[in-house]
Parts: sequence; structure tokens; C-alpha cells
Amino acid sequence: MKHMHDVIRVIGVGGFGALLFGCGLEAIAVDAASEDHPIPVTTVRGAIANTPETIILTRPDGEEVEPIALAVSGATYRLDLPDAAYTNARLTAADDDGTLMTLVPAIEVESVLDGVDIDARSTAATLIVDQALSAQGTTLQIVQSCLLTQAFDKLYTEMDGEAAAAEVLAAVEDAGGVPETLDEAVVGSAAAGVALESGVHPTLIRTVLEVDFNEGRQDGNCDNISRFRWVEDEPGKQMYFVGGLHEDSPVQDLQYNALLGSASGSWTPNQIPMYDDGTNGDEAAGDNIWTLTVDLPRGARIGYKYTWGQRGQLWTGTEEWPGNQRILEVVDVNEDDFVRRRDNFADEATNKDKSNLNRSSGGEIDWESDVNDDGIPDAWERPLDLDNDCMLDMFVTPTAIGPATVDCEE
Amino acid sequence: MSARTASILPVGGLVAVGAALACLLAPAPARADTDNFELNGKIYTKYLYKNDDSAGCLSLSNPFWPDNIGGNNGACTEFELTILGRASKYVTTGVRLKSRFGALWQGWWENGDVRWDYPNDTLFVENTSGESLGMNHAQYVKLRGAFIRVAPPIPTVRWVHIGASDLGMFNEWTVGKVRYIDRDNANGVFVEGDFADRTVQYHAAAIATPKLFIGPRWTSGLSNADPRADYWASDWTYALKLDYRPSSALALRLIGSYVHDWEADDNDPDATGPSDVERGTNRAIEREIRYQGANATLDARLSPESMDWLNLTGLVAYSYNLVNTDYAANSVRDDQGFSPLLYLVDGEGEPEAAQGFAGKVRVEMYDPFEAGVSLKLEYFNIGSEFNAIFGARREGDVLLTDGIIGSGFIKGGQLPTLNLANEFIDFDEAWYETIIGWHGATALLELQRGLLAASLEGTFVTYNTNQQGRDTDNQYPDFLYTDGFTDPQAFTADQDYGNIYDRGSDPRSVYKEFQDRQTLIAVLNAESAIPGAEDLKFAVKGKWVHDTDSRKADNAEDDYVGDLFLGYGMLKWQATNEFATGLGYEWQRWDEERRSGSQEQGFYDYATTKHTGRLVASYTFGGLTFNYLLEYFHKDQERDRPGSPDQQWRVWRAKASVETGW
Repeated sequence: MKHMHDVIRVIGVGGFGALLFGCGLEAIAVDAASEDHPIPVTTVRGAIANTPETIILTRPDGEEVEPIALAVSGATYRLDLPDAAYTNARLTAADDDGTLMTLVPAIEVESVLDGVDIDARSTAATLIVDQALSAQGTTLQIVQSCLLTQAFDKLYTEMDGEAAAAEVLAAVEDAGGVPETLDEAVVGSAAAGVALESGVHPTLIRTVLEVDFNEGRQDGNCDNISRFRWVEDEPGKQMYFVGGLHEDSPVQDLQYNALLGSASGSWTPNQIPMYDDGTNGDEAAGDNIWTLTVDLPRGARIGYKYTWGQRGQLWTGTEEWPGNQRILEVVDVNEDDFVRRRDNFADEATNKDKSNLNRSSGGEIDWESDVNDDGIPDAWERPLDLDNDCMLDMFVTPTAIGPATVDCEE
Repeated sequence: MSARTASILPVGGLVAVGAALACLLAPAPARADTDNFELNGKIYTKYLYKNDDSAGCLSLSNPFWPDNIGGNNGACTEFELTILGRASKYVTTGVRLKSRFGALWQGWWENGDVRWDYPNDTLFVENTSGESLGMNHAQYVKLRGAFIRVAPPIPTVRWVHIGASDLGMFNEWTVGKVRYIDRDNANGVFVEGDFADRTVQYHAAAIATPKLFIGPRWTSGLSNADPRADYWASDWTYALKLDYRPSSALALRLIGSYVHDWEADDNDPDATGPSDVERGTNRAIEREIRYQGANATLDARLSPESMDWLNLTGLVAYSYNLVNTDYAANSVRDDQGFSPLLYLVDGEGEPEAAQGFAGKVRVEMYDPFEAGVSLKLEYFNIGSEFNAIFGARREGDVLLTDGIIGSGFIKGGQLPTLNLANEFIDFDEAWYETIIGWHGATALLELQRGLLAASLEGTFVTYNTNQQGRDTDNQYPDFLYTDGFTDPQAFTADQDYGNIYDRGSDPRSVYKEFQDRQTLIAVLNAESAIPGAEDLKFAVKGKWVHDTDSRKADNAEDDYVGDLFLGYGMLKWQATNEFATGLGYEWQRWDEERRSGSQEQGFYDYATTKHTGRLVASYTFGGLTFNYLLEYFHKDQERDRPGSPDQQWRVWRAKASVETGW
């Protein structure tokens, strides 16, 4: 019986103890069992033939990316980069003996890419591809990534024979890196067989979606737009795109939903970043016109909107407006092999499907609507307004990226 | 005491006289006059924890837009003072003064001052003052629940009630009792009385229609919610209840309600141009009707005196809802199918009223064989266009069945409205599903023997909303997310408004473009004290829901088959008079074939497994009540849809409250 009283006394104390427990102690208990998460990075790994203090990743436009960490151990390296996708990037590793290079066609977001070796062969191949780009009048910004992969494969094979590529390799090996001088004829000969251009894709078209986030932009009524009517202006935000194939689209292929930010069937905001750094099709860094490029089937119909947020943030305080969507039909009006659509952020009076505020729209638009009466449906690509006078001026073909081309042969 | 008075008195008597005068002139000690004045106070403190990074004291705030009191971590206190008065035996009054809930204990300096950056006309971005959350967090005291109640000497009138009410005098099908969060936000004038020798009692009301939640786009005229409307101050709802008791065995009740939403006439000459009598201006703005809604029920209860074990109840209901789209945006069309109302049109495209009937009959036989076995049977048939717009939004349950949405820890209820409100609640509170279109029957067998109470339910439901090619783009709201079992446990405010984490269908989603659905529900409940250890009680529940929907008739590849299996057990121990505790566990498995997708892209299978463990404790002593709940919620969702990775939840959350009143 005495023990029973003790038990009851302990329980009474426990009751009051629970009072304290409801004061954040759960967090201490739960967090003790949780694991630490490292900063998300994009990682490149491979063999390396020198011992550099740093390895520089350079974007196609020449911008250098500050690495988060570099580890060189023996003949291998690991380079951790800010978490992002990188396309047609250049890796440069310099030490006292010389400079080695390679080109990396594509690195996915939050991924680890193995087998990116930096050695004499990769350096020779990079030099030859640089020459080929120059000779063919193209750039790393425009060339298709898979063509770079093909070019490297081809050059590596040639280096094992007696072709010009082998001579370039020998020169690099002799110099311990990029030679001070190269026989232009030899490099030119090696580059002559490198194909960096391919035909325009017959069914896909490069769709360049841009949104102007500058203050003072006008909507479809030529009224000034209040950018922050629905969006909270907070530090650390950037532009994101979210959308998906429209139910009216003749093309219903889930892979395109994934590209547009609705892999799970529901639109997920603040996941597909847009760019204002002069990369990934963006024409000018820092002009507050944000760009996303995506290859879509000609004739597809999509719904979309823009969000100004932080990665993973939710709808509230980030979306242009609650509910409804912009609509776009993938039609190349000016036949330049691009669909280029530039919108003004929070413009509810142009291609917003429902609750459209354009005074001539009747509150909604469809795929055939031409509210501004310019002969082009509101849901198609349209000319750019180059001077913000609320008049569409002319079509401008993108220059920071090339058109969608036929897929590289495997 | 004045100086002149003091000067004419003998000095020796000053002290004594002064003391006497002080006694006479000093105010009487503070003392409540219990005859005509009553004060009641209450302090309520709540604590929430969840292993996430949100701040606030309300798990599930307003999904659109989320109120900034919503969040899962923090401690908050509220105080209320209720003052009841009695002016005379005919007139009584009441009022509540209550502090705003939502100020976190951690917010030491909060004073309601949201710092504004005037040059840029925006919030001050780099505000380090700590006083930046606004009046919602300032603990201001608000006048609530003020009423006057008078018993005038007018024939038939018993009471006239003017002011706040919870509207609990009507029913869920017409004007429903206001949910807890809005408990006495409703105001009106209410008259109750009787006639015909008290065989007929009446209750009439004129209720100020809330500017939010009644009407198209959940408003009666808030222009930010619906640009076509901007006038809500003269919108009223009228209701009348008649109770007739022709005999002691039979009771009849008739309830009717009517909602009328006015807008100013946009084309009135006074609103469109200069004052000119030739233009027709007269300094008076005419009004147009934006929305009209009417609901009525007739219910009867028969309890034959010769069969005191038998109880028969029946109810028929009617609803009428008409939206004037000249003054109300079509929110089915414009708001992605989120609408509390239908926007029906006739063959010529003109708006027409949505009208619907509903009915239910319940037979209850209480232990007819005196063997501890009772039987309840219910038939229900809710029309596909029935809708109680001002009916109960939560905290009510009109059907006998456990329904689909209820589980072990999370209770559920069924209500006949599209205007459900599964919001402004915590993670441990009940969820409600709409029963519009439900047609079926329930049999409930109850056993009461010794310490054991058990019940077994079987329910079959088919749906009056089954239809092919229903117009969910313009007329019938589908609430966008139409597929799969709803998961209240995984629901969060902002994320699941957008259904980012795939939480299943919206509990209001009853209309689909293609539907051919039926549902079987089987539920077993048992509860008992343990013989020899009566301080210990256990409760168990088992549930199976078999839900099928053939969707589009000519597409064999879209047929949905969902099976929900649930097992639940809870052991409770009343350890002392003050302290009780309990430990429970719930398991759910959902196998859903072709749960989500579209006619264009196909449908894909889902499999969901949920484990929930819960520890509860309470301590009650001397007028203080403390409750604590700790829960671990574990969910795995496997999705076959390409591009949709599997998901998991590993959620710890807790809720505690301390409450005392005096």
C-alpha cells in the first residue's frame, strides 16, 4: 500500500512535470535525435593531373563561380559549388606547372557528377572545341550540351590515333598544360571534324519565358502595375516560374509538367528558378528581367504564373495573384524558331485566363482572344515593348541561347 | 473634510469626529452587487510545439489568406471578463471583454505597431524593433458578446434578445450554430414566445449577415473579395422557428431562413453622373439583389408512450440559392472551382436558382429486448443541389454514420453545406465533410453490457451527384482537388490550400466532371473499464471504407478503387482524482488504385501508411485545468505517378493548455 502511495505521489509530480514539458522541452528531445544537414551543394568529382589551389568553374558567359569547397587528394578532386544547375561550364585548374581545363556539358541541381577528369586529354579537347566554336561562329551559351559530349567522345578517340587531335594532346603534355603557343593549323585541322551545330528540332521549340519585375511597368490596360499588391517584398527573394500543361493542350506528356513545375500533378511554387544573371538564356545580368528557357512541343498549351519568393516558399506572399493562371500556346508567330514571351509581373490584364482585369476582356480570355486587337491571340508569343510605352514594338529573336535542335545521336 | 468645518470644532473632538466623518464620507468598500451585477473572469493559456519552423498558436489558420496568428510553435495567453447585469427582473444584459489571441510569450515588446516605410510605401523591411507583428499580436481587448434581453408585457412574447447570439436556436440545415471561433460574432434581434396555450412556440430572428462567408465568393459585398460588389452593411438574414407539440408523443418543428444580399445599383443616375433632375438623379441610390438564399426544414419526432424504447425522427429540407452574376463574379469559373454556391444557367445561358431537397428518417430502438442491445437505422437522401449556405460550418453532425473523414484520434462530422470550415483549429480537432448528394442508409447496432459499450456500423452510400459531363468549369464548384481520401492529419494551412503535399480531396468536393461513385463504410467501436482495475479504461476502433468511382463511363482505365483500413486503441488511466493520463496508437492503410490524374494524362495508384502515437495527460485541481497532448505522426505515401516522388512525414507535435475561471 505504501508503494501505491509512492506511485501516486510520483504521478502527481509527473502531472506538474508535464506542465514544464509543455515549454519547449519536446524540441530538445526531438532535436537530439535529429541529424545535421549540410549546406546543399552541386558537386563535381574526378581525376586530376595537377595539384591546384583552386579550381575555377566558369559559366558560358565568362562569369566565374566561387566554389564552396575544394578537396584535392592524390590524383582526385572534389569540387563543391553553390547549389544550381550548370550548363556548358568550363573547369580550370592551374598550378605552378601549368593550366589544365575541361568542359562540362551539364550538371544537375543538387547532384554529384562523377568522372569529370581534368588532365591533358580534357585540356586538349577543350582547346580544340574552343577553336571549333570560333570557326563555326557559335558560343558555349548557344551550343547544345549533348553536342559537347559528342565532341569530347570523338576527340578522345582521335587522340588515341594519329589524327590532329593527337598532336594537340602531345603539345599539351609537353607543356604540362595549356601551351603558350599552338600550331593553329593543327588545332584547326582537329577542330574541323567537330560538329557543334545541328538541325532545328522538328517538333520542339525553345520557349523563352521572361518576366519584367521592374517598377513602373504597365498592364494590359496601360495602368501602372503594383508589383507588391499580392507579394511581400522581403530580402532574399528571387523570381520563380510555376506552371503545367493546360487541360486544353493537345500534348499531354508528364515530362513537360515536370519541366514546368508540376511534376506531382499540382503546381508547386518557388521550385523552378528563373535567371537574371546572364545565364541560361537570360540576355542581361541584373536588369530585373528574369528568364526561363524550356523546350516545349509546338502547339502545346500551358498555364503558368510567376512567383517572387525564396526556394521552397509557399504561395502566400509570393504569387503574382491568388488563383487563376496565365495561358500560353506554343506558337512561333515570327518563325524564328523561338517562342519568346515577355510578361510584366503581376499584370492581370493581358493573358490571365480568369478574372482578367483588362477592361475589354469581359473578365476572361481564351486561346483565341485578341483583346488588344493586334491580330495575335493574347495567349501567343508577342512583340516586345522595348521602351515601356505600353505599345508592342517588334519581335526580337533571343541571342543568349540557340534554338532547340535535334537530339544528339546516342 | 473642508477647512471651514474643522475650524469651528473643538480641537479635542477633532479626532473622534474626524474618524466618524471619515467613516460616513469615505466610499464604501468595493463589493460586487450580487443582485444586479455579476463578473466572471477566465485566463486561458495554450502552448503548441511542432518540429517545424513556424511561429504561432493555431495549427491550422485561415487557408486563404493565412492569418498571421497561425503557426505551430509558441505559447499564448488570453483573458476574458464576462459581465452580466440585471437592470430589473424584466431586463438582463451581458457583455464579454476579451483579449485578442495570438501574442506569443516570446514577443516581449509587441505593441501592435507595424513599422511602415512611408517613402517606399511598404513594410519596413529591416525592422529590428521586435514590435513588428501588428495588432493581431497586441493583446488588445475587444468588445464581444454584448446583448440585452428583455421580457416585455406584449402578448405571446416571452423574450426579446438584442445583440450577440451563437444562433444555436435553429438547426444545421438552415441557420447553424456559429462555430467556436466565431461564437458570439453574430448579432441580431431575436423574439421568442408562444401562443395557443403554449402548444406553439416561436423564435423569430433578424440576423446581420456576416460580410464574410455568406454569399458568392464567401462575401456579401466586400470589394476586395469580389470587385463587382461593395456593399454589405444592409444585408440581413431572417429566420423563423415554429415548434408545435400536438401531443406528448409527437413534436413538430418548422424552420425557415432567408438571406438577402443587396448591392447598390451600378447604373443609378446618381452613381453614374452629375446631379441633374433630367438625368433622373434624386440623391437616392437604388438597390439590386446580388444573392438570395432560402432554406426550410420540417422535422418530426415521434416517441410513442406505449413503446418507450422507440424513437422515430424525420426531416425534410429545401434550399434555394440564386446568384445575380451582374453583381457577383462567377467563382466557379474565376476561382478554380472554389465556391460555396452553384452558378447554374438555363438553356439560354441565363442564371437560374439552384434548388434542392433533402430528407432523412431515423428509427431508434433502445434496448427493446432488455438485453443491452439497441438498434438505430437511418435513411438519408440529400439532393445534388441542396446547400445550407448559412448552416452549421463545423461542430455539428446530422447523420448517424461515422462517415469517411473521421478516424480514431480525429473525430469527424457530416454537414449539408458547401460552406464547411475546417480551419481556425488545432491539429487535434474534428474535421467535417459535406454530404451534399449523399443517398444511402446506415444501420448501427449498439451493445451496453456491464462495463462494456460497443457499436457496429454499416453504411452504404451512393451519390445523387453521380453524373457524366457535369459542367465544373462554370456551374458546379469542384474545389479543384477531387480525388483520394482526405488526410486531416497531414493538412496544413497554406501548403494544403494549394495541395502542395498531395493531401487528398477537399472535404467540400462533391461535384466532378465525371462521377459514378459509391461507398461502403464499416465501423466497430468498443470502450470499457478493465474489470478489477476500474481506473483503467480502453477504447478501440476499427474501420473500413471501400470507395469506388467509375468516373468516365467510356474510359475503363480511370476507375478508382480506394480501401481505407483503420485500427485504433487508447488506454486511459485516472491515476488520482486530479491526474489522468492515456496512451494511444492509430494505424491507417490506404490502398488507392488510380487515385489521381486526369482524363488526358491517365490515373495513377497511391498507397499510404500512417502511424500515430499519442500521449495525453490532464491535471485538474482547485479550479485549474491543465491538459497536455504529445503526438508522433508518421506517414509514408507511395505514388506511382511519373515525376511524383514518394513522400514521408515524421512529425512530432504537442499541445498544452492551462485554464482557470473565477
